Amino acid sequence: MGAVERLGFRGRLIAAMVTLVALVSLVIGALFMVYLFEDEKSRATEQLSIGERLTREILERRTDLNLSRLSVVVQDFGFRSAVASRGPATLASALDNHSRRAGADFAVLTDNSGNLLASTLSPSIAGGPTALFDARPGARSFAYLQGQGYEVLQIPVEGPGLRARLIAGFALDQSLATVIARLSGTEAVFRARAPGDTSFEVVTATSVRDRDLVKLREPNQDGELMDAGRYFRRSIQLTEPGSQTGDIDVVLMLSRAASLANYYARAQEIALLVSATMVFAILLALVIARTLGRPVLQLAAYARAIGEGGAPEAPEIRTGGELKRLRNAFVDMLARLREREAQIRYAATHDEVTGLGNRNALMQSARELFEDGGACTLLGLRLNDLSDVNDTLGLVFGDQVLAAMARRLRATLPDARVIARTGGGEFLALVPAQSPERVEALARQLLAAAEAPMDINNTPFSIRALAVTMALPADAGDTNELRRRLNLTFEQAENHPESITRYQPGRDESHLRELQLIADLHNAIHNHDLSMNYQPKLDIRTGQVTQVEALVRWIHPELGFISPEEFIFLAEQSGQIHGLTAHILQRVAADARQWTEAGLDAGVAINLSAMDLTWPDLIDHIETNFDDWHHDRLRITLEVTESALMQDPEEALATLRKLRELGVTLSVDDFGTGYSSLSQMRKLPVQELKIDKSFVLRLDAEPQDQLIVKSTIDMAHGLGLKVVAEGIENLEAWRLLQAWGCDLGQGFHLSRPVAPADLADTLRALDARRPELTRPTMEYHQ
Amino acid sequence: MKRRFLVVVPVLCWALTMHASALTLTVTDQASGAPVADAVVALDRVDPVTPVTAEIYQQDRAFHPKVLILPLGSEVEFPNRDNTQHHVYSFSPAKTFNIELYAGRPERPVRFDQPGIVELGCNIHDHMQAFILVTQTNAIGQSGPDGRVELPVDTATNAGAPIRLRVWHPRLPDNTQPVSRQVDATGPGTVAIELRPAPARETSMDLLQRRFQEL
Repeated sequence: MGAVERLGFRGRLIAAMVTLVALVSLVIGALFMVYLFEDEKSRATEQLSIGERLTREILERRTDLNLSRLSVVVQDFGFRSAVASRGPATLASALDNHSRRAGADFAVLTDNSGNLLASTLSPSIAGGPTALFDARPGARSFAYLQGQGYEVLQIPVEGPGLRARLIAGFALDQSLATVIARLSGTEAVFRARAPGDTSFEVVTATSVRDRDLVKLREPNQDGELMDAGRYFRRSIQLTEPGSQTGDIDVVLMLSRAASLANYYARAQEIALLVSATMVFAILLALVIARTLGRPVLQLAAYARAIGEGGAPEAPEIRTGGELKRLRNAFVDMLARLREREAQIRYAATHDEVTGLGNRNALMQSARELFEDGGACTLLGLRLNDLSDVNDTLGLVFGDQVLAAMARRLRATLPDARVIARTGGGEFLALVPAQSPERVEALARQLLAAAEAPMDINNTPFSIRALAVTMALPADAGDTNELRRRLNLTFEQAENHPESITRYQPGRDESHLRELQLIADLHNAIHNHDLSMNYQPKLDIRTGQVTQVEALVRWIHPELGFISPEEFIFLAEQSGQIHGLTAHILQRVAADARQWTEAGLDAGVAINLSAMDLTWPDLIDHIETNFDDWHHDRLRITLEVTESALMQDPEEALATLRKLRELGVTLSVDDFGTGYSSLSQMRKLPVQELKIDKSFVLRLDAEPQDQLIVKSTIDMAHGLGLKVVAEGIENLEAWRLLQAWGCDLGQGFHLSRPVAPADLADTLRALDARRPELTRPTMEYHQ
Repeated sequence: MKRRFLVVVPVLCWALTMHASALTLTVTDQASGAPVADAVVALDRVDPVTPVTAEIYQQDRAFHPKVLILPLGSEVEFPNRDNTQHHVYSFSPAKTFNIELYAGRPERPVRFDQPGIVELGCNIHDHMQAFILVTQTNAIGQSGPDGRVELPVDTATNAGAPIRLRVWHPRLPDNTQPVSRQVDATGPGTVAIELRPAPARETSMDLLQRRFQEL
């Protein structure tokens, strides 16, 4: 695949065309060559067949000729007389003479019983000449004798009273081979082998080279066409297989080179033709690739330019047809792309309901402003209760309200750089920088426009709104700051009595500090960077320490002491409060165990957050941490603020009941600040009220506070609750509370919160002050 | 086929006077069972025979008769009645002779003084052929067209023993000597002999030649 990718259109076209042409021409050429070859071969075969018939015919003719010569000889009176004379010398000489007349190469004379009468052959022939007499009279046979092949003819010598047989042999000689070769157009080779031999000897051959003759020594099947050498050949067996006189073959040979010369010439022509076709195909492919490839490449470049977002000029395509259509399609595509891009860009920067810009548009505009170093004023408008409008009057109505609002904004801010709807009911506008007073006025104008009654579907309608303003770049140096501080400002505006809120520098910094604290608090909880302090609570009557209140402290490595109010609030905001509570429970339980081991005797009081009241695992945590609690569980006091109880009284009640079942003491903290109804207080399963220190701090000097505290104590006692007063700053307050029958007291006058290690010393010091604290003062017993 | 009164009739007459009884035989072809004519059948015995003078003349380039039964020691004349010369000869061991080309009657007759079969030929007319059977017995005869031949049998000497015969025919596979056969003396017997097929009729070429001759 990679190779194909790299080849490119031109290369692939050439490759494809050349491959196709090569394939087709090679197949055709190969077929043609095969047919031609077969044709030549069959022609050679045909020629050899003709040669074979011819050879047989020639041999027949020769036989007939020789037979007729012999018959003349045997009818010769002189010869017959010589035979009849029976004189061996006479016979031999006559036989020699007369066989020469007939052109025979040897002659043997026997009587009718086969007894040898005379012979021109040497007597040394193995088995004697009688081996030659198996042929019938007048019949022809072939024999291999003394390295020479013979045609052997037998003819009776029959005269009146004369009975003998003449056997004459005619050599298969060079002249015969030459005749056969000349007439059949092949080479002719006579080969023979003695009975029992496997390999042949070449007897006579026309002009065949010796090394080709060697191959003829191997026997082969009759009619076999090819040999491994340079000849087509066909062997014609002259003798019956297994003849006693040896096997003799004529092998006709046709030079392959000669007979295939025609074929090779054709092959060269075809090869030339194929090569020419290939070259032509390559050239054609190149031309086509050029004419087709260049426009394609141009179109590719054009498409790439389109892709890069340019507006290129479409290439001129001279060739018509598909490429022209492709170009037009590209042009068309570009137009549609632009159109769609415009739509997308519009959608990306506009609010579809109002047609104003959206947050992206505003931020883009602000970014440009920051980059250019310009200044301007940001005006923000947030419609209150838009969701209520949507819920009650329907989304369509809501959209109409928004659209109307957008029209008013446009009318009010004609010179705005951008007006955007950035959220549900939130509008922002960047207007040229103004003086603060002018900005204030403009914001009021904007609010007035927004809150003016409008008529929607014949329904008179008006909506409340609040406005925020920021001066750029003074109040925000980049878009991130802008977004963060804008949100902050809107948040402030929600809780701000004024309807116009200007961003106050530094607000964002405290917000960032909060973010940092939230992030670090998590680590602090896990790394035990929080420390616990304990503030004793004393029995006001006896001056004895009955309990210590656990107070968590956090010394931040960079920001120093962080007040519990701040970080507990942040823990509640960031969902870490349960982790914090669990951590505190664990710490307090551990510290309490150590005190017990040190011989100290004190109950503990732990503050719970409002959110802990809706935490299902709270009960489990308390149980597991205090399962080895050494005292009565009543000496574990859980303090819940009055306001926490009032957030969700039902849920709080359920949790408090469960806590009561555990047997712990429940205390209402900060009592007197949470607007709790007494009817609800009555229902709560608590045993203790903790009067808020704001009533106690200046108890000695504020008669109103004295009244509140005294009546609270009385009320609590009436409800069967104990009362704890915190914030006791002086002995006078202590004495007053003592006089009013308050149960427990806590404050700097008694002891500050101390580290767990210092608790023993603190308790000893308090023990030492008991006489002072318990001395009765009668003046308050009135 | 010309009758050979000159030779055959006297012999037969002579034979009948000598013997009391006659043996009738039928010569058949061994292959087809057909009766064979012109077969010469003789008893295998030696009788005292009387030489005669016989003649085999040449006419129309043929010997007449084709078969001559000749008592031992007889002489034969070979008169030439054709307008061409003939060269009569024989290489047979029984009598090898050679009468060079001649016309008319040769100087002297040829005497046949050995028993056996003498085949005659002409050196310039290869197809001419005749046989002379030089015999030492009187009990000899040639079968007729029905293949029958009668031979005089001396019943006294042949006391029921099988009779040994010698049979010859020009178309025997080896016609240089007769074949031996045995028959019961009691009744008419059959003698089967193997024969070569008869040569083809004279070819048209020969007819044409003869027409030329007759011009």
